[in-house]
Amino acid sequence: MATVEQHISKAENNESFTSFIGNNHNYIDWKFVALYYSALHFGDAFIAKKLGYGRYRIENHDERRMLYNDLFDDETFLSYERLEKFSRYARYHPEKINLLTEKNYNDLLTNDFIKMKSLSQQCK
Amino acid sequence: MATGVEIVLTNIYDVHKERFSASTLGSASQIKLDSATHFNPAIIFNDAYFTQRSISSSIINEDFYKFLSNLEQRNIDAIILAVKKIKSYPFVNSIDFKYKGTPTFIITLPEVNRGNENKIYAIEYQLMKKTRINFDFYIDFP
Repeated sequence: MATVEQHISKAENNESFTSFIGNNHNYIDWKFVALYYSALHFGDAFIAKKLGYGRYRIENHDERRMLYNDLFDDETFLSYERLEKFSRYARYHPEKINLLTEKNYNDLLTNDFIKMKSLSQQCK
Repeated sequence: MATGVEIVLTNIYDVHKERFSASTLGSASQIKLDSATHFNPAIIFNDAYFTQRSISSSIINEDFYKFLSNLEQRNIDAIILAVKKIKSYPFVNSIDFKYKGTPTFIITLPEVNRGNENKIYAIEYQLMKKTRINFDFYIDFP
């Protein structure tokens, strides 16, 4: 498993990609995806801190969800779920393009992503 | 085209036919689970309360039944509780069940609504805690 710092660096890199896309609505789906993967790496950083670098390797999303369910408080887990589902709509469901609005993105950013990002504060 | 209830009953028949007495074999609508069966998915997943609300009956794929039939009773009880709770919310349009490696609840809501979605995800969080099983609650919108 990557170190806490490597996960946080990856999370910040993905977060900055959402800023790079900016308000270009043609790529708003990728903003949802990048926001989710940024959140995921903040989550994995927290796991790496909790379980210890090198002691555990997350092999797949199912395993990750079980760990998140174990180690996150309920509100943070709920936020992860919302981010994950919107990312799934963006990646696999072009018929759900109507859900990928700036309003929904900002809602995820300000309410859900912030909770995942705050996990990095607990990694220090 | 088969209704949701017919699909459910047919699936119950296919998966649990070894539990049915010879007299009930034949029509899916005549199927009754025997007394040794400790749960009746048709009642759990398509109860009268849900249908009274004019909500379409749940569709359950065969693999989800196989998944249920291998569970311990306490985990089945936890699932029943979760399903009842979800159904009790007036904002839920429908709930279907699939198993493709992960037991999945497909819950349709009328619109994006953080509060309502979080009520559903809170049930998922508790269900995973109780059962130690990785459930996937997939919220869908029409």
